[in-house]
Amino acid sequence: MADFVPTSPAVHVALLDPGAEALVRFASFGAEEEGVPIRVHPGEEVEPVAAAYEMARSSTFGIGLAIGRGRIVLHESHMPPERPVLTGDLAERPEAVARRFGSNAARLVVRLPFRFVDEPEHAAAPPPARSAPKPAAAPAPTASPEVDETTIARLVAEIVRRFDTRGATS
Amino acid sequence: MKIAGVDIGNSTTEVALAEVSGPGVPPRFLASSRVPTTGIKGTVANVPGVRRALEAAVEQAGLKISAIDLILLNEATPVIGDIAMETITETLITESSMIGHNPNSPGGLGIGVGETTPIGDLEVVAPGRPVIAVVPRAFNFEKAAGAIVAALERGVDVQGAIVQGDDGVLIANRLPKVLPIVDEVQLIEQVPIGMMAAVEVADHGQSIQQLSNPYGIATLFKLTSQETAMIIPIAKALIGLRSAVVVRTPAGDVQTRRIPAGSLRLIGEGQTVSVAMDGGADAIMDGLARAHPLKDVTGEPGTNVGGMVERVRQTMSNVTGKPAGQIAIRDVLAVDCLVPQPVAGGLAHEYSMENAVGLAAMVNTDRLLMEKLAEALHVELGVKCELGGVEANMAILGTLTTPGIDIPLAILDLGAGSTDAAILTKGQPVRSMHLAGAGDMVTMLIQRELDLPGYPDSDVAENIKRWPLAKVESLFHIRHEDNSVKFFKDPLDPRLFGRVALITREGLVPIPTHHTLDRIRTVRREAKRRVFVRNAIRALTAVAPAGNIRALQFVAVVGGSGLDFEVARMLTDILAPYGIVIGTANIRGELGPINAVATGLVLSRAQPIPGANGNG
Repeated sequence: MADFVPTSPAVHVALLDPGAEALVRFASFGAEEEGVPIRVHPGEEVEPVAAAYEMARSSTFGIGLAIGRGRIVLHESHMPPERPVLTGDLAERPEAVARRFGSNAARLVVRLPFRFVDEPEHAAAPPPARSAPKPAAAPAPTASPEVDETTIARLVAEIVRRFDTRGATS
Repeated sequence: MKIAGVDIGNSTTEVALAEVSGPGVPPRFLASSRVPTTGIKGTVANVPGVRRALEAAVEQAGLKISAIDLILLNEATPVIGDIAMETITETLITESSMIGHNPNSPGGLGIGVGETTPIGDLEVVAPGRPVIAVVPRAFNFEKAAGAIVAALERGVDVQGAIVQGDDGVLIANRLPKVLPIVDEVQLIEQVPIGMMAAVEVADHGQSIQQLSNPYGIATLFKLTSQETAMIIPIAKALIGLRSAVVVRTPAGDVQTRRIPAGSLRLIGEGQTVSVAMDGGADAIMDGLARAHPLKDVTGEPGTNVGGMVERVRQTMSNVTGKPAGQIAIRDVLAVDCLVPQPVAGGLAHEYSMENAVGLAAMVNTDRLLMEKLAEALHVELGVKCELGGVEANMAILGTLTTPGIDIPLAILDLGAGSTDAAILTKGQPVRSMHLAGAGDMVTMLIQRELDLPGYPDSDVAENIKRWPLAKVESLFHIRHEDNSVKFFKDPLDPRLFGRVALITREGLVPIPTHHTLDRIRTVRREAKRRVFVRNAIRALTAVAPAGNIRALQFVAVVGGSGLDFEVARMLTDILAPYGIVIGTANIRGELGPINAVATGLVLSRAQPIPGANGNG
C-alpha cells in the first residue's frame, strides 16, 4: 500500500478489447442513470475475470467491470477471485448488455437488486394489468421456439380454465 | 391392539399410532405423522391424505397399514371456513390524465407546466411557449437531450419531460438547466398530446409536494373550486411518490366511486341486525355481538357483499352436497384493510390504496359427512374405522400430555380455516367454540395488502406468513428483522442481492416485490394481530366461565399455528395482563403443538377424560 493514491470513489472498468471502446460508454450510461461514477482504470490482467477482479481491488467501492472480446464481467473485491458476480455475453445487442452491466455495477453500490433482463426495445404491447393472472409463465416452453398446436391449445384451455375459476374463489 | 388416531384438519392430516393394551394401561406410542390434507375437511376427498399419513406413520414403526387394528377419526362437526374480500372504494380515471409512480431514478428536480409536445416536434414550436417534451423509447437519451437543448437555445420554454425509457437522469445530466423528468412511463403513446401538463420530481429522499396537494394542482392549472373538488382522487393517489405527471384533458375526470357495498344481515336467535358494509369491520363485529347467538347471515342482493356471502354459501354447498338454502353461516369475522388497486386508465401501472373489508365465514356441517368418510376409509384401507370422539375433547386429552399443564385448561387451536377454543374444568363437560377466520385469512390479508400474486399461482403470501424476513445488504451479509446482521463465508446468490428475502428451512428465498422489509413486516404482524389475536380473545371469552377471561388459568396453543414464530408471543403480550399462563403446548413432551387430537383419540381408548362427567 506504499503507492496509495487517493482517488474519488468510482466503479473501475478495464477495457481489454481496444475495439470495444463504445461499450465502455454504454456501461457508463448505465451507471450514470443510477448516479454512480464509473472510470476506465489501467490494469495488467488480460483475462476478463482476472481483470474485473483487479479492477474491483483497485476501486474504493470494491467493484470492477472488465470488457473483453465478446464477454463482460462484473466483480466485487470480497468475492473469491475466480468467482465473478455476473458475467455476460456480448455477442448479441452488446450495447444493451454493456449498459445493463454498468447499471448493475452501480446497483451493487447503491444496493438495489440486479437487473437480469433488458428493458424491452419497444413497449408496443402494453404489459398485462397488475392483477391479471399469468398462468402461461410457468408451462411456457422456453427451450424450443417451435411449439406444436396441441401444446398451444392445451395452454389456452388451461388459461381459460384458470380465468374461470379465479373469480369464483377470490 | 394397534390403534391409529387420525385427525383431519383444514390444512394437515395428523396420525398418532400406538399399541394399546387395554383400559387403564398407558398406550405405547409407536409413530406420528403429519401430511397436507387433501380436499376440504370432512369430505371423501380426504381419503388420499389419510392414506398417505397412515403410510408415513406405519413406515416409521416398521409396519404395514394392514397391521393396524382400528382407525379412530376425529368426530368434528366439520367447521368449514371461507374468505372473501371486497373493495368498497375505487379510483377511476375516465380519461388518462395522471401518471404517478416511483421510477428508480427520475431525472432533474422541481416542477414544470406546459403543453405536452412530442420530442420530434420541438423544432417547430414557437419561442417562448411553455412545453413538456414527450420522449418515446425510439429516441435515445442523446438525441432527446440534443433536441431539448436545441429548443431551449431557440427560446422555447421547455419545462420538463415525460420519458418512456429508463433515461431520466441521463437526459437531465445533458441539459444546461435543471428540469423535472419523469421516466419509465411504459404506455407513453397514451399520453395526450397538446394538453396542459404538470411534471414534478422531488429530491432524493423526498416526495412530491405540489401535485399531491389539491390546491397545488388547482394553482398550476388555475382550477375553479368545483374542478378542485374533482381532482382530489388524483392528489390522493400521488401522495408519497417521488415523481408524477398530471395532464389536464378537457373531458378528464377522475373520481372515487363508492361501489354500493351493500349491507349484511346478521340473523340471530333473538334479533336480526342489519349492518352497512361501508361502516367497516368494527360496525360488523358490533352488530355480530348484538345478534349473538347467530343463526345465519345474508348479504343484500345485487351488491358486493351479497355476492360475497352467496359465494361462500355456494362453496360450502358444493363441498357438502347440501343445497345452498340449507347452509347456515354460524360466524363471521370482518377485518378492515387497505388494498392497492390498479387505477383504471393509468399510464405507468399506478395503483391507489382503496378501503376493503375482508370477511371470513364459517358453517357447521353435520356428523353424517364424517360417517360417510369413515365408511369410505374402511372400504379403501380394509381396516376397521370408527368415529373416536368429539374433536375438542380429544384435543384437550392430547394437550394434557404437555409437561407442567393442569386443569382447568383452555386450548386454543388457530387453524387454517377456523379458530377453535375448548375448556375443561373440574366436574364440567368440555365446552368448545368455533369461530370464523384463521390462518387462511391472514394469508389473504397479506396477499391483498401487498398486492402479491395469489394462490394457486404463487404461495409467496403463505410463505411470508410462515417465515421471518431479512434484507440482503451485500453479497456476504443479511440484516434480520431485528436489525442483527449475519455474515456468510460464501458469497450469496447474486439474484438475492438487494432484495428482501424469507429465511426458510431451504435457505434464503427472495420475495418478488418492491415493498420494503418494514412494510412487509408491518402488514404481516397486523394481519396476524387482526385475525389471530382478535379471534383468540373472542374464542376464549366465549368458553371462559361466565365469559370472564380472567377466570382462565392455563391456556395452551395447539395446532399448526403453534409453530408460528411470533403468534404465541403476540398472544402472551395480550393475555399476560389477565394473569393467564399461556404458551405453546408440547404434546407427549416431544411433539410441540401438533398431534394433540390424534394423540387424544388414542388416549381416549385407554383412559377416561380426567375430571369430566361424560362428554359434552
